[in-house]
Amino acid sequence: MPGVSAFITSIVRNFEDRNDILQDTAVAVVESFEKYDPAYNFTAWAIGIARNKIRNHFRNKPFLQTGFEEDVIDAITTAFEKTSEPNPRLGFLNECVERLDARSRELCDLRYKSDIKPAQIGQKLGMTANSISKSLLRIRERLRECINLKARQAGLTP
Amino acid sequence: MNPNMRTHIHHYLDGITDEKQQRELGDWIKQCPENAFFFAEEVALHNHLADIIQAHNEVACIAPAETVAMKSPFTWSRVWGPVGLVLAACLMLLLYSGIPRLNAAQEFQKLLDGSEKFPDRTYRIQSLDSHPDTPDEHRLPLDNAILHVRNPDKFVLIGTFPNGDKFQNGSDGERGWSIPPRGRVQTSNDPMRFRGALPGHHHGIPFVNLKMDLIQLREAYSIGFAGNHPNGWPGITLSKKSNEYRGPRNISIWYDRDSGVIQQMDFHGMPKARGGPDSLSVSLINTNPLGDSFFQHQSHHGADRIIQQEEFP
Repeated sequence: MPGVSAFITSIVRNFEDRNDILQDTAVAVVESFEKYDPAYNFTAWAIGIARNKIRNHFRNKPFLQTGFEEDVIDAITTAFEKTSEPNPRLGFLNECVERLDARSRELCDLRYKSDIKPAQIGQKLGMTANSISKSLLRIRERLRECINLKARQAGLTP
Repeated sequence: MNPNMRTHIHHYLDGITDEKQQRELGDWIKQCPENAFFFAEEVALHNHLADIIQAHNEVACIAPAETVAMKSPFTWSRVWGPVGLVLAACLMLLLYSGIPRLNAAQEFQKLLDGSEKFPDRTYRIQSLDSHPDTPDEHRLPLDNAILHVRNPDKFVLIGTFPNGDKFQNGSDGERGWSIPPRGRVQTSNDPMRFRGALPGHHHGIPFVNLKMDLIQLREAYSIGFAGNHPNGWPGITLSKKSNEYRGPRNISIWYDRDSGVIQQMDFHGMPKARGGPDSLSVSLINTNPLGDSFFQHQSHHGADRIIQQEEFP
């Protein structure tokens, strides 16, 4: 459920929390599958369940903040529901990650494998949080350029 | 697309937005569906990237996969199969090769400790190829180039053409810069922008952030002892464990026995996708303090040069 997973990330951001909520959502989807109406978009239905799980998650961990008001989360939910088909361009991402230079890969490992934020990465590498943040932004932009290029080469329309 | 919003999105995903940025981003997202779609697309890439990096590491390393297994009761059978195999393979490796490697690994630790002793270091880079590449005026010539570095992210690389012209790239930790012999000086708010000229930049060769780069090498290479250098320095060799890692095939490192400070590194079987030498040697010239302004581009060109500034959002 890549769309559901991305939706959860958009609200909770922390990958460990994302995995917990995704797991709870998957269990709830299986348990309540008989209530699913096939006329309705499946991912949108699962996103609805995920949103409830996110609410529960934040209720149980009040020290966590979503950061967004409900009306913003409504807009985000709608966007994910309407783009519920997996983006075929993301299929090229693995290939593009393989082409990252060693330094970029190291930053990605720290950010995504260790799930640590730029300030902590900066402390670890002796760099400023701002410089780490800029580098991460550039890495994602390069990856976006790479998947767009590969999509064009594969004849995928924008 | 407002470039500030792109930055806000990335800051949000990295958990570093302040209250004002967060409010601006929220207002922008609900302004129109296109903005919300754009936000969703950026999140989708970020999210998928996390999945890919975590999946790579589950294959390469025991701990993350084990964590996933513990947190995912309904996927135990799917996860424990490969994890069991990886555990068994790692146990075999430890049993059969762990003990002989221990001393070399301890020596490697000495290099890690020595890597922090002198923040400023100056190296000479020399090609070991029998027929070094002919210098190209658009590329920084590496043979006999001088590399000044300061832990963890500042460097100045100076290549000299046969006619005496210089091509210089560097970073002061905040801005990257490039000074070709002629034409505009380029600077960028991406401090890593011009590190491509560093030999092995794409392959984790230890130069600028020596400690981090050495740690990376330790993971990707098998460590053994090398013979002593003619100058008497003890040495270790590193052989690449897998071709999946794109670094040089073999590396020899010689270091001062007492301080652990690296004196010379030789690299053989450098990846050639971007040209450059097959083998090169990097020798420590000195560890003299270089001064803060040394790493700024203004210290390396005349005031009359035109400067082109590149600003990424």
